[in-house]
Amino acid sequence: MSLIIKDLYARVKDGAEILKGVNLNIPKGEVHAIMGPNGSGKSTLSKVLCGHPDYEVTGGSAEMDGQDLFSLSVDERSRAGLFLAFQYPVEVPGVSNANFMRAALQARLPKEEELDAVAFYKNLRARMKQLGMDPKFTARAVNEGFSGGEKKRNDVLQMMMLDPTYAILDETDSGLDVDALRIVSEGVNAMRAPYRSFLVITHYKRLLDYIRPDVVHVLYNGRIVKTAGYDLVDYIEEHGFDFVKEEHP
Amino acid sequence: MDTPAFNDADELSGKLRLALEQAEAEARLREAETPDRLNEDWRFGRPHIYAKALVSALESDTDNAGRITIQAPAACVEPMADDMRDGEMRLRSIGSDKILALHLKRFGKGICLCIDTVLADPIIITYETEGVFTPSTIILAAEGAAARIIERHIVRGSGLLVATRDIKAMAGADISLELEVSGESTSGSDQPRAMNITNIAAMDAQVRQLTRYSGLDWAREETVAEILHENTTIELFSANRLHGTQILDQHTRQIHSWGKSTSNLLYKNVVDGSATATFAGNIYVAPGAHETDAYQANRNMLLSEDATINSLPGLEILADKVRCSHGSASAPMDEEQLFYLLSRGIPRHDAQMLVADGFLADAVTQFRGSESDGNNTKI
Amino acid sequence: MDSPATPSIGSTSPADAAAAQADLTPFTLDTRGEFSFPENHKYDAGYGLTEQTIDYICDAKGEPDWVRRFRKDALKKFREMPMPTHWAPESIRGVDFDKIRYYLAHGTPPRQSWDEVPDDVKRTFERLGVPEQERAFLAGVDAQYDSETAYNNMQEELRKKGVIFVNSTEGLRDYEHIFRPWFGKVIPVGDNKFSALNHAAFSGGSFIYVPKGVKLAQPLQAYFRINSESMGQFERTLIIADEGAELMYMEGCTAPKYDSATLHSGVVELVALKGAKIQYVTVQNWATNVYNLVIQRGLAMEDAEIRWIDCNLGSGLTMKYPAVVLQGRRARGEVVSISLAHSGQDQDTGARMIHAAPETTSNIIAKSISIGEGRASYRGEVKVLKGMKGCRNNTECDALLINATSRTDTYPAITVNGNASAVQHEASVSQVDEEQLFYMQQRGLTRAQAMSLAVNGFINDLVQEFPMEYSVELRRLIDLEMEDSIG
Repeated sequence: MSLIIKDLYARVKDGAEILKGVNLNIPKGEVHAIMGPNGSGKSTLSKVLCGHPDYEVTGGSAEMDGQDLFSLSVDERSRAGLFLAFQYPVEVPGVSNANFMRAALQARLPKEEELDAVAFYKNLRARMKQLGMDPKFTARAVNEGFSGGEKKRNDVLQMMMLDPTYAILDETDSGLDVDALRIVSEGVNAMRAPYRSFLVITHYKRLLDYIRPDVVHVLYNGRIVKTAGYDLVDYIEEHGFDFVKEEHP
Repeated sequence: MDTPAFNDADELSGKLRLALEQAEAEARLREAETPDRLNEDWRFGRPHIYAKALVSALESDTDNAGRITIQAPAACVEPMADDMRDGEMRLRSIGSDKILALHLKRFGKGICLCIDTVLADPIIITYETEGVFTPSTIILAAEGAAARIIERHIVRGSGLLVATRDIKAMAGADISLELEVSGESTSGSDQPRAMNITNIAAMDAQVRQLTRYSGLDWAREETVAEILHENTTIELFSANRLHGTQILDQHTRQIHSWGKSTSNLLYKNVVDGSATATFAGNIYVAPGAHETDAYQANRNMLLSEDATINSLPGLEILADKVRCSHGSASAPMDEEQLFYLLSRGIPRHDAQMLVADGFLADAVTQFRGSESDGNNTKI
Repeated sequence: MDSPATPSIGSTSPADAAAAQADLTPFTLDTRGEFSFPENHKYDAGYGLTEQTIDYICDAKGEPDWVRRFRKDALKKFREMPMPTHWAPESIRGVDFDKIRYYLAHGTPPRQSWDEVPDDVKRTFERLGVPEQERAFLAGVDAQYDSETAYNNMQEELRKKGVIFVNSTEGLRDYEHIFRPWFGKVIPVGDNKFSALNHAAFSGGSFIYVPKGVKLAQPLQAYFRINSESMGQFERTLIIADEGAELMYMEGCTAPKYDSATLHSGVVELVALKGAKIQYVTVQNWATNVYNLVIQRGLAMEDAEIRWIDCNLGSGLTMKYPAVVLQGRRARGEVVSISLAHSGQDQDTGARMIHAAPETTSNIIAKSISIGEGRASYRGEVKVLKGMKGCRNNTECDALLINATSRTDTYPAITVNGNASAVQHEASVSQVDEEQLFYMQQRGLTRAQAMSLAVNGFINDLVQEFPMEYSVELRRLIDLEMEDSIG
């Protein structure tokens, strides 16, 4: 059981090709990291996997536990267990966090079944406490007027609530101060489980020191150009990405 | 013409007054024109269909068919009396004088609230009809009075509602009015329609109104709010979702006859199907009404290819030291917001509903927010 | 009909004219127009508009039969159509069609000389720093100065590039095959009462054709083409930019312009074919006895761009809403508008944008200043037609009120069809910040100077859209207005 991406090509709708044959295999229970210089296609990969309407797949495939990802709509992919923590979480005016989460959880239940509101709130409060979030957040509109760090925390809260099998963290560390980074990372680590995989996209070693990956990939110019163990993180921290640019001019 | 003096004969002067009023009303009816294409206040209102239909229904159907229920302290409620016609005659429409004149001709049904204290519980008035119904609501708030009023209208079948509302708020009064007009169709051929004419006059008082329309084939709102003394705040809100072939035609006037006061308007509509929402507002700041703050915003979300909005946010400023702005924005649903909800597994239809309701939410929360602010300071 | 007459502006009898001449009040900006100078017209169609007037115009101009028929059909429409009194400013009721002369032309160069121009007017020109040659033209005196040579040189340059730049009479007579297909197509006869009027009585104006791919670096200016008709009250302009062509056209001037005709009702049609770009700059400063009711509309085809840059300073009543019909995919439209209304003026200006093709974009920026008892209004229309996707409009209207008695109005009308376009309108009304004035006065500026600076600051971004010589004059003019209304 794993997330298998084969020879994936994708472009901005009516625009330039960004992914040029990505191959990735993320088995259940593992944490993979993707690093790479700016503009290499990291965020595009996460958006394409979730089905963002700005991008179109021009070739290749993605399978999640044997299921063709690209035959599913955005919300179906989510309910099938895929989660994306956004690089820039979106503000949704007028929709409260609590209602938003309820709707997302309700959608995962069979039609006739009603979400247990008491259990829901209990769970929500516990998770928020774990992430150091103000209980008043439940009544506020989703991400509206939140600071960058609050938005990131809110996304991780959603991940905890939705309990995905494959979670992509797209630069979740950006905009977080040291304390917040620690809290968020602890939250993620607490979720590590044999039935769940993570794909962590980042520029920095900082996050990977907290969430230690099993495998590290370098994405460059729309392709995975290097795959190695944690040692690669240290190497990149010290030498930067020049080596991939030299190997793949 | 000499007017004879009847000072010592109350009865006679009463009769004379009634006769004069009668004559005035008849003259008004005669002179008022049915709205047509050249009437700017009906610019997008399809007067040839709707105004004409309203006028002919009010002319031909004399049975004022409707039920009224009210939940309020008995001391506040006065029966509709003939001498209240006088106030009704002073009502102003926005391009619908003929309809107002016909309404006046059918005067008699409705509720008059005379509020002179601070009421903790809301007053709830419910008007229901299946036929042609022309009720009036009169709200007189004495000095220092405070109340929340919920006025509900239910129009069933192909019922036709033409309702008027006259709100007067004296110094220190604080009045909230939530106006809900809903249509209930039982078959596809039903066409519930409604028209509302509201006049607000406030002197050193707080008045706020929230209007919500649903389930109606056609609805027109005309709200004329006038500030008659300083230190007044009038706030007007509306939040509606339209679908199918529904038409909502909203007209507002924020009249600042006196300075050092504030008016604020936020009208929001979500338009789906082949529905049409029209908003035509005007802020008028009279000469000498200096230090006025006046705001007006109309925001629309369009959900389908055949949806239409018309937005005419007007300003007429004749005074100095005025802070005044208006805005109008119309756009589709934000794709990123929708994607965010979808990415959390919420099905498309539900996600759209959530985003659309979220879009309308601030009109309602702002109304409730200033409602509680206002009442807190009073109680 | 070759009878010399000496009527004065705003009056109808020679006796009045004499009285007005004898009693010239000192000229200030608030009493513009209350002076006169002798007129000598070879052609004068007299008062009122009838079939005979039209025959007179056609005979005088030697026009082909089709134009005569065209004018007469328009006259019929003009008579049938109602005045737009249900929405127009109240003062439009003052227009009396029977008290207007519909065709005046000098057969020979006018006989006035600079010496005959009233001293006050000369002083105003000096204060404004208007170049001497321009002053003479603006005052309506003999215009046959050096510009004749300049004009001929320019015409030669243009001819080499295949550009046609003529007046309406020549355009319809000599280049019928080019201009007739578009003439009256952007603004049809029956568009409104005043378009019908112009179709019936038009004279003067410019007909321009710029061939495929020709990009004119220098703006074409109306006053280069001086002749007896150039200041026609029923001016008719048609500009066609063929595929990929680019031009800028400029008309008017910041200096006050005096004319004996009290109704000016021009029609300007622009056609920008695929990929073409037209910029049309107007600076209008008629005397306050003038009704300035102008219809300007452009048709922008695929990837074409039309910009109206509009400044209204003069006239008693201006009604002018430059429009762009965005007819081709990705067409762009823009209106940049400044208006200034002082006492006795109604500046009813604005813009119209009709999105009739997908992915079209438009932009409207309007700023107005109301001084004394002046009234400035913005009236606009933005329409996204059914089935059009990816259209965008952004409108900004800002009004500045100088005195407690000034008035400003905003009347936008927005219609959006469908869920694939976005339209936004923002407007604000403000006064000059007293703190700002105090600050500047504390530094030694007079109140008028401080006010001028503040007002110039308010319109600064828009003034920059005008060609250099105009923007300098505009700033100076605002200084004068402030001096007169506050100083």
